[in-house]
Amino acid sequence: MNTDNARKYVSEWSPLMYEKGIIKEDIGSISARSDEVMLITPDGCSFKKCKPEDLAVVRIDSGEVIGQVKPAADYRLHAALYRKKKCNAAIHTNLPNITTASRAGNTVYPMLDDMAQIVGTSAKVADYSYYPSDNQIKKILKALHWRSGVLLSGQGALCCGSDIDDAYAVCQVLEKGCKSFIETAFLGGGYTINKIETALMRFVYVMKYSKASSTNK
Amino acid sequence: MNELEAKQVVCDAGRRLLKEGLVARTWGNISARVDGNTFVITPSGRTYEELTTDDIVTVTIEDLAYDSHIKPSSEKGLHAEIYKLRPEVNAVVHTHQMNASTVAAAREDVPTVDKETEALIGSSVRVADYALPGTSKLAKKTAECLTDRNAALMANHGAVCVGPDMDTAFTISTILERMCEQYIQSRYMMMAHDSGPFDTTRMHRYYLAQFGRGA
Repeated sequence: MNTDNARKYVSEWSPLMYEKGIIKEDIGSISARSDEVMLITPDGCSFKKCKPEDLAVVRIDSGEVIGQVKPAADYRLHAALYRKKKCNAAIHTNLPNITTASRAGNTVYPMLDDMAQIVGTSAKVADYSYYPSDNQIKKILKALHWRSGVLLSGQGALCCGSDIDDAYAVCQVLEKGCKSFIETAFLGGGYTINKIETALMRFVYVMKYSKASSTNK
Repeated sequence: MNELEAKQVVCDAGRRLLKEGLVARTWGNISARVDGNTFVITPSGRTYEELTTDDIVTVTIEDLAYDSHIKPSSEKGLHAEIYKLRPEVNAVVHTHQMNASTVAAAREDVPTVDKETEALIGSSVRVADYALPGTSKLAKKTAECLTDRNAALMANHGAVCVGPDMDTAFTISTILERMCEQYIQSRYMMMAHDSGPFDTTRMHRYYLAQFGRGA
């Protein structure tokens, strides 16, 4: 995707993600890869009225900001993510159950099959601050290994995917996974799925099922 | 109902479930019985928005055979098992709805609390034992839980609702979701001794104080 198309793509998704409650005013960010750069929502962005020219452009290899637009506070985390993982889009979400789980600080283990498949064998909580440090970024990416989502201490979660729609799916499934993790505490505790089965489901999903939407026609 | 009509019913129901928020994207699957030997079901891994009747697959109840280049849902065995055990059932809806899934993660049976719901669903909603998705073990255990019931929870997975027609199965899904939501809320209020109206923010605050790492 060239930069102009990527600008249009991110700016079209931003209001939709705002409407769905995935991102909130002043918190959260959306980015997409476009070859050597990434497009990211700007600092203090109004997601509702995001236009293509409002987006910030950042070099993936160096994290250098190109142009005048100031990127979202966590842009260095997004750039580091694209350097490390093959994903093409990322969302820093503040959905309510995800945010509570990120505050609680406990690793969320899958209590539902779809979380094991789509998010991974667990959602770990990584230390986070508004402007994440190099050390924090390193640990966040380590916690994302073989997973598609990581909880950011007190500040929601970072979810990634092959495109924005895919990252959005990770947000939705992680939100449901966090909801069941939280609310089963009131039902005498939930049952987590055993580790071998979660790993197996994740493997089958990544290798096969995730491709069915385009191949099973 | 002929095959094409049944396919149309499944297509329409898919979009309706998506709209009501009972499923998201490709998660969950829907089927309708054509006759004593066959049913039609949504394809594997495809989003409901783009489905047409050509994408819906006809499957044989007895041996799960299908004659199409499109793969049917991996849960076809569950649907077949239900049609085998319940001859009066003509529609099956399997969802990953939020509140029913949460109760399914706690593996708790949910009692029906009023006569109207009891007439529609049965005296309770049972939870089927856990088994990996798509396996015959999951199909058998879930179908068994539907004896004298029109809804069942699938441990750590979701829910399945059945009916004599698609509209009824759909209504049951919606009622089940509300039932499970109220069940969770009442259990929170019992634990927290919270007697005011339910409030999610208050529940989350209580959760953090009781179960958070700093608690």
